[in-house]
Amino acid sequence: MKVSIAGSEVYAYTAGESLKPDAPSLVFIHGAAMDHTIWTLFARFYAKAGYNVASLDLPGHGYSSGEPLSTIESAAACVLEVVDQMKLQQVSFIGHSMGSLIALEAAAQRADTHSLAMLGSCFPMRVGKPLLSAAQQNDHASVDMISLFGHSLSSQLGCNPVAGVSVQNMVERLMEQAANDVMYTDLLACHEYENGEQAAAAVSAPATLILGERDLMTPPRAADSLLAAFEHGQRVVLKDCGHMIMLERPEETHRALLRAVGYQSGRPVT
Amino acid sequence: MPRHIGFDTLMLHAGQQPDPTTGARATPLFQSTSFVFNDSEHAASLFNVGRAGHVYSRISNPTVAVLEERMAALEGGVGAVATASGMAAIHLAIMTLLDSGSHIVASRALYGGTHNLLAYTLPRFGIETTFVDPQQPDAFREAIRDNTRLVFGEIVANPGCEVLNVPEIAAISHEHGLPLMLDSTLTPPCLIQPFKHGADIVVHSLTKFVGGHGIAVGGCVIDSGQFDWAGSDKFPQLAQPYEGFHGMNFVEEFGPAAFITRARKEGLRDFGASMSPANAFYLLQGCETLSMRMDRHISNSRAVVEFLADNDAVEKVTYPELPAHPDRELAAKLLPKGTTAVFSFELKGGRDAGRRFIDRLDLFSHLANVGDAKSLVIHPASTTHSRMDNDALAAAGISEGLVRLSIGLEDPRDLIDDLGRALKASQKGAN
Repeated sequence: MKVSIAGSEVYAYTAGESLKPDAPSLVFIHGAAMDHTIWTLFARFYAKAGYNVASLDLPGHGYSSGEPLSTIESAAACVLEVVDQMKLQQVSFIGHSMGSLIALEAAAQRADTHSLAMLGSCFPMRVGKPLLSAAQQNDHASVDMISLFGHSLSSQLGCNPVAGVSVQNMVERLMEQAANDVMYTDLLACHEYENGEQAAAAVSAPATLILGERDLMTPPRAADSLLAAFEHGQRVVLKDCGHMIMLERPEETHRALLRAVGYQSGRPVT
Repeated sequence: MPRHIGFDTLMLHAGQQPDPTTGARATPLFQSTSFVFNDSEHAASLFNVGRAGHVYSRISNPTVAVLEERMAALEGGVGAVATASGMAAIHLAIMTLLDSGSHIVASRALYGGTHNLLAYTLPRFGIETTFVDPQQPDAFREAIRDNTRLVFGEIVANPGCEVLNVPEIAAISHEHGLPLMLDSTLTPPCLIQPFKHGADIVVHSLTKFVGGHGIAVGGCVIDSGQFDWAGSDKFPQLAQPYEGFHGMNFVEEFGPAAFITRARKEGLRDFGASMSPANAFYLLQGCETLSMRMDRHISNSRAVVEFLADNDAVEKVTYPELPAHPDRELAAKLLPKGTTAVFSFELKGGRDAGRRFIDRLDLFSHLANVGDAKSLVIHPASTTHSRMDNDALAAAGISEGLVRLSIGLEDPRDLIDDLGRALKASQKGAN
């Protein structure tokens, strides 16, 4: 479905399910120059389990129109507007990389947040000058750098439990599809975001950092101060995993997310 | 700046890690039809594509998946589906994209089995093909109709060695919102990666150079992930909800992997031409040495071509690296490491000389295959292309006296000696 916000049509993938009144909700937020398709497995699982799922394309990404938003705060405001317009309740925010910072900001501003899951995250999320520069020039080197720094060696070699799919090549194609300047805008927003620890301190809901042991873009140790700022924070580090957490290790991510959002098999979702 | 993992490393490692349970370094052969669910919710999730994992080996299998991911990595694609044969791969790709009433524009220089599928079998199902001269890119443009949904060819044709101008034909295809699918069987990815030249889908008969050993039949379809299926209304199979999978919209849900996901979820499920785990296991053994073997295939081929070109019993050698070949410059540009090891030549003396030649060979095996580690020979007009009438044969550049060679890995001096004896025998009694 699409939601109109400030001149943009924001797309929310609901995994083919109609929204259910009073059902708990999961909002998935992608990272820089990506789109909602990175969450398809998870969105389909939770939609079938009775959740309302909104896997978003941020403005200027995927199926959403408009320009990419230049700050994490403005992106979070957009996400919260989508949540309001879709009338989502008991919301858990789940974000990856840039999306994790947006999820953090959104969770901090919404007192009834059910839970927060931040994948491939850290604070501050500084972006190296060579990558920013390449992205600014819309140079394919920016895709190459994220592809190579963003996947563990193990993941570059493969062994994807999703049969026959090359995760690294998928990620490269996704980033190549982004319009000019989208990656630069996204990376700059990450680089300039300063409110991480204050936002974390404002989150009263359980917060889970799901990190990759071999992540060179947001190494686990770079999330220490963020983790310490949460009232109820926990960390899960996935072995041999790089930055593209949910694509590199979908089954381990699935298990970590079950705990992060408080899902228990066989029980009614509350 | 770090770099992508090299081709030879991917050839050995892509898609596989040491087995976490046993520590096995080699890819285990998971000879199992089906896989146990953890619980009922896990089962439901796998059927609903909400979890990653294997259900039933017609759809996916851990050993086959290693081969699929390896081929995707070697070609630079987002994903691959392995099939029972190369022909099954072509059929799967076509059936994933085309409906009754659709049309294909194809090179007329194709493997005989492929020509048969397009010219005779698919029309029974309402899919027509227009065949065009592979060396005339404009002919592809002129043959495109409103109902065309696919452009298809072989990079180096079998057996005439016509070289397809991949970048130009890709551009023509894309101008019309059509994907370009290439059969790259004779030009494995260590020689050319077609996606870098604009192709959208690649099919292989893995039976040939990738396997190399001649012990397992198999094929695969590889998706570049670059084609915009939602850019027109031509591909509702991928860009509209599919009732055969609970309203799944493959482009919306799988993005760059839309085509290859539907090929698996529908094509393997409903047509069932999947690869056996045992064959995947065999083909993986061959794949591990692909580039090293191709180096030898190419150097042996060059030695044999040089010998044949200088032999009085030979009317003509067709090989893209020879000065007289019309596609020499194109071949050098697209295939700088070497064109292929399958080529043809014409004997003086026609059909009878061809029969005497083949019957006198000792090392070369007379059989219907190419790309084996052992050198092979066949007479296309009476075997692989026998269902083509004379006009079709002529259009495909095949004369009655044409002999096709597939050069193996033997000592090239022994190959040349064997050919020399047979050439001499071929001319005896010619007067």
